[in-house]
Amino acid sequence: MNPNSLPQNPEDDRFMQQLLRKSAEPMPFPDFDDEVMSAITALEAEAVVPQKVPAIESSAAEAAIAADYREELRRMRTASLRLSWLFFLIGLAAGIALLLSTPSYNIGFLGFQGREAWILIQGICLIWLLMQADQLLLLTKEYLSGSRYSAAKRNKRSAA
Amino acid sequence: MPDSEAYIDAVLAGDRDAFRHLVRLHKDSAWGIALSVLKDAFTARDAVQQAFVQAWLHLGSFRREASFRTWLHRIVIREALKLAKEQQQPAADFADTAYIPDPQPPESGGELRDAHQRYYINQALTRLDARESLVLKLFYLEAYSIREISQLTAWSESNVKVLLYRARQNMRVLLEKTFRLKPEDLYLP
Repeated sequence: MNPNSLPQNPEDDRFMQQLLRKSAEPMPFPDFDDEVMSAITALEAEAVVPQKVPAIESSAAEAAIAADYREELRRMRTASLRLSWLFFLIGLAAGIALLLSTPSYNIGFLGFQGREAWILIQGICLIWLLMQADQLLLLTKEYLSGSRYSAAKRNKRSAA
Repeated sequence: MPDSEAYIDAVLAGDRDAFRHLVRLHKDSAWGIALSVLKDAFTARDAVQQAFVQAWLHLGSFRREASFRTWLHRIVIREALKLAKEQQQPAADFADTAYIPDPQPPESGGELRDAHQRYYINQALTRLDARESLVLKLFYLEAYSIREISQLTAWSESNVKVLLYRARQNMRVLLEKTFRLKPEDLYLP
């Protein structure tokens, strides 16, 4: 059964909330504060102080910091990709509008005249458009699969 | 709840004893989270102690994008899961009925006493899978959203939803079939 398709059950949620609130107990170790401060004092005696720069001593804290950075990078990548698509579509619409609204002036382009010149211009624009679209689709595919930024690739690059 | 920010600033300014206030403010919630993973009070205490020491060591790198409580809980969860893996704790036997005491007869009005209710609820949580009990506590007790739990645990949101669904189901089974309690027996207005 797909839990995503289950209707919300407020009564069940309230019941669970009451259960879990009932389960909450204070820590049964009255000397815990002193034990933590003693451990910190012992570390200070070894000349370890709170550092402004992250010290890589704990995989847990390091992972927490790395997770923050990864989340921030993910948000930046998402915003960049959305803007790329937005401007691509705006440019596409503007280009189409320009081509349709421009009357067929008798212009010359690279040795071609009139209609042939317009066809050549449109052909060049179409090729350029397809190249940009291809790059944007590739970027989107990499973003969705996460392959560009995967740990495996990073390790491979750093090993190389 | 007093603002943790002031204590954090004091610690970074050199007042080591200010960290004691942070410990007092957050130790109960941290211990509850560690206990939901490790199922043992003393092991959970060790995990929380390690988490607080790590928090003190890396307090300077705490960027305050989230609350200190959230940041600390993330460290507690990582330490607890790491400790559980190191100890390779066997999964609690969900169907184990050998140590379940007979439920106390309900008092007048069908309500159990406070201590008995807490006992049975915590017994049920102990028998749940570590990830299920953790997700239950984070969602219903610590009031984290699915997205926040996903960020705390590094599990996907869909995985969190599945765990939450299973945890609710299993909790009901434990209370109703194993302990022979009905929801109304545990209801508190």
